[in-house]
Amino acid sequence: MPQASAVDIRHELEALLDGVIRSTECHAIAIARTDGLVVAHRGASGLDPRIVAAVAATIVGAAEVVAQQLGQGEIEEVTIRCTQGRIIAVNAGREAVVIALYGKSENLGLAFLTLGRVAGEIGTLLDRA
Amino acid sequence: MQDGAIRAARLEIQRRAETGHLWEALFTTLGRGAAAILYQAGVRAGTDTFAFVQATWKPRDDAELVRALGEYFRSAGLGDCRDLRIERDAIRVRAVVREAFEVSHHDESRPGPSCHFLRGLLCGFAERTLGASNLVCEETACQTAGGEACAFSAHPLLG
Repeated sequence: MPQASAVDIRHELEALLDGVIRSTECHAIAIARTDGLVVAHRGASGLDPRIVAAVAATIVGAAEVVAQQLGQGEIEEVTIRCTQGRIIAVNAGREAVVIALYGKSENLGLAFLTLGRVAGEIGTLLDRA
Repeated sequence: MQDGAIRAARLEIQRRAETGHLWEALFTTLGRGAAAILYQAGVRAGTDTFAFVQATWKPRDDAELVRALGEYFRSAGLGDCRDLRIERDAIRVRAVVREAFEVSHHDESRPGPSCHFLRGLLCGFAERTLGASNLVCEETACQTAGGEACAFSAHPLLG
């Protein structure tokens, strides 16, 4: 199979992120490499995608250390409940992380389900890049 | 060895040791997330580096800028930046660095390239040099992986 162009992959990634925003009450979403490089982002203006990506990589990295040190296996997702909303980060393949922002009233079950599916697709896409 | 030289050597050893402890603590507590922090710090340092090099060396063209950055790398103990290419048409900056300072902090238990701060620094420098935003910098070869030098490429995202 011919390798997809970088532009094609970026469009596909952004389409996946748009889908998450349409299908859930996600305010903002970003894909970051595990070393903190921003890959793609969608949503709330005013957020610096570079910082969001770095934060995503950092919290997932730290969570992995906690899980490993406490003998709890691999992490499935990281959820942060805040007074103003929810933040969810999930691994997308071996080398990327997806971080998404939700309102306080969001149905997190749907959010987990959607993010889990999309993260798998993102991981597959990035493997082709 | 003169007293001044001994003091300078001690300070350098102390500085490197302290940096090594900081790097080790970051990776111990944050795992691979530490790379993101070091990269971000590097991007900011790269922006400052560009301004410092411009103010100090006042390069008139890319060739002088390359030489100035090389001198800055050596004087700051960042490494020996032997080959720096500014490719304006391709919106790309490539660099080859020997004895990059982060190589000495590398822990064998961490796979992959190790020069996250330098990646960020070259990214920030490339953005200011090219007048571009949202570049990323990848380390395409690393001395910790057995290469002769560390190689970096700063370019647009997914480009």
